[in-house]
Amino acid sequence: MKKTRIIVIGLFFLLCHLVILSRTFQLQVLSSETLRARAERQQRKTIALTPRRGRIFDREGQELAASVGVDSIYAQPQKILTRQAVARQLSPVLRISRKELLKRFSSERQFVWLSRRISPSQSQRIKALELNGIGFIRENKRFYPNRTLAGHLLGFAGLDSQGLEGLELKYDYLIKGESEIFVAERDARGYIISPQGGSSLRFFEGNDLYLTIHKGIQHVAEKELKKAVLETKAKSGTVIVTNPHTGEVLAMALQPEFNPNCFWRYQPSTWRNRAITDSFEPGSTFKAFLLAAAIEESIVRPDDLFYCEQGSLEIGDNIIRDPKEYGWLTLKQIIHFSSNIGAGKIGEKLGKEKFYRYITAFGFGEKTGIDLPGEISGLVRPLRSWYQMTLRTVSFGQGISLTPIQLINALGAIANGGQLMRPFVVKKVVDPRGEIIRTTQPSVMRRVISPGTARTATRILTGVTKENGTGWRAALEGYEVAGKTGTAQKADIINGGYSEDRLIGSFMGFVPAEDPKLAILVIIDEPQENANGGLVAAPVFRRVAEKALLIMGTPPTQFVSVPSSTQFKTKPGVTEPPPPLKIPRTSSSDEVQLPNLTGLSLRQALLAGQATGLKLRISGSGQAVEQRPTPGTAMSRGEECWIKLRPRSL
Amino acid sequence: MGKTLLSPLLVIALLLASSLFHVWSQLQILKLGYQLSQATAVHEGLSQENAQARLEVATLKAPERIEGIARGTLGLNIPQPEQIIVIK
Repeated sequence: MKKTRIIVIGLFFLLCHLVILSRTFQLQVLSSETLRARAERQQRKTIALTPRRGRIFDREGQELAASVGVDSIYAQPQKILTRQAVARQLSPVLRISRKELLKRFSSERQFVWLSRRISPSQSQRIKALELNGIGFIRENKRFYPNRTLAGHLLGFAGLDSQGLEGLELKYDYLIKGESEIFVAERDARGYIISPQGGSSLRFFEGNDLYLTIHKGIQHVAEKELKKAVLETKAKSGTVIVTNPHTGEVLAMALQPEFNPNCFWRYQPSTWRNRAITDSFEPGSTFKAFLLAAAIEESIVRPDDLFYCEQGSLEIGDNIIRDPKEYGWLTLKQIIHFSSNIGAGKIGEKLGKEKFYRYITAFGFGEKTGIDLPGEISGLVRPLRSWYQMTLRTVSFGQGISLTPIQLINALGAIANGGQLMRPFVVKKVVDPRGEIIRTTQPSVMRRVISPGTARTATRILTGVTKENGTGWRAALEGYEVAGKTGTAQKADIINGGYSEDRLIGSFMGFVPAEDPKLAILVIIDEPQENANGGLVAAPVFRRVAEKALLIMGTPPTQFVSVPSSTQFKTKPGVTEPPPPLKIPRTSSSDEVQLPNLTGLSLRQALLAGQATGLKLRISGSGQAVEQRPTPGTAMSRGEECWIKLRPRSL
Repeated sequence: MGKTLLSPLLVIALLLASSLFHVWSQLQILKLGYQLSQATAVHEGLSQENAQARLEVATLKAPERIEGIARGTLGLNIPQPEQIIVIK
């Protein structure tokens, strides 16, 4: 009996084991693949990472473009319980009509976008409603904190983080980052246990761009250009500021402007960076290159005389006119007064083959290779298409079309001693770990003229901004400016020939002429009243240059006269206004009597030093208590005077 | 009798101890996993906050705004050439 019971129990256990074993076999062997796949689906969560676009900085590390994460809101229509109520609650927050929301909720699809990249406050308000079937996805949104500043240069990125214009487009492959999917394990409640590879999230971010642009100079250029375009009621305008020694673009301003934060509100034609995508006939600014070529070929000397036909020269059916009735002019005067007839005669003397060679050597007719999208090459007729008048008209900048960037880059070659540089905008590219992955070095495209020719041309071009020159309004106190004005008629597409009332006023120049730090081009397109380049563009040059030189800390290279009545406007209590300076002068203009400097502050003493042209050696700080030589001593400019300062006693 | 029982007991104790250690270590991994997940979320949040703060700084430093304050509120002006003193 006992044995039977044991056998029964044994069989029962055996049966149980068999059941367990067969179930195990079924789970582990027969259905293993399906079950493993199901387990992975339940335990693992796939997270798609949207890349964060790299930032764009100016040359000083100031942010010009950055991306931050914001919420995008979606609906899963099947999960929404009361569609009417949800639509009523969301409509005012998302500013989408209730009807439109209901239409989206009635979609057959499981996932419907309601609004992309909503503001943090909108997101907060919707989250507080705790609605079923409404979810959020984090996406990156591009911001341009300086709004319109450098908009044409930066361009913009689209909704899906793709570059669409400007640098955002050109360098998209470097700054967009890579979309990445990573898998994390999650527990029964859906919480993520450990994100695999989570520590390397930063590597999906895009690289940062550091530009050659200076935010301050860009602002000044944009502000002054905008003012000029408004004042002259012009159609548009361009200002480019470069460093002629390196080819770095320090500012590129265009009018009309646009704000890349809301680019869709502007006409697409406004987005275009016309400094590189549009060409124009330069007019008299082009004479600078004729001058350089003629000097380099030694066919003329600065004082050679040309007869300028009393302001009118008839060649066949064509008449070339000058703004005034000039007779005999030297080469220098032809440039200073911008005589078209004189330029034509220099061109004739140079010959079309040589002139053409220099035109192409200065980079006209070919792309500069600047790192911006959409550059065009302009139009230089092939030599075989140069007719009788072509040489003369091209000599004063008609019958040739070029881009603003080509023009300023070619001027840079005269400014820097004869080398044509490749212009560039991106200085370096830095990866998310902070390592530099690419640096742009200044690159010489070719030597166009010799340093000696460049010096002579510069000397002649400085005369343009002197008292009788056409560009005197571009002159800066304390600095020598070399430049050239231009007033060009625009081609009349409908009637042929040139328009009488659609003109372009321009000025290009560099400063300080003896060691240029800046080359600046100003173009004012179709000003309404007077389009004279010397009138509309030269003052913009002066205002941009004086502020840009201040920003760059370039001291004046010439003596700045200080009127004795100089008044300092300062807020009361901010600083002590210096007393009017009385500078006694001796009979010789180079000699001054040393004024009494004791009792003056350092600022006042320096001002006195500047006014007298004397060098000051300073020791201590505070108020001047002692000076050597003694007051009243006759000294010549440049001589040194020693002063001792001591803190003012209370 | 005592000796014969001791060795299987020792083996069982060792097995038990190693099993317990395995379970403990798995729990630790799980716990650290949760911590890591939380830390990653915090890091992401802080990075996000940092990016937003930087953007706000950049917006506040926009030259147009700074110039407006300098001219309007502080009454500053661009110095005239004769007001600039070059020290070096």
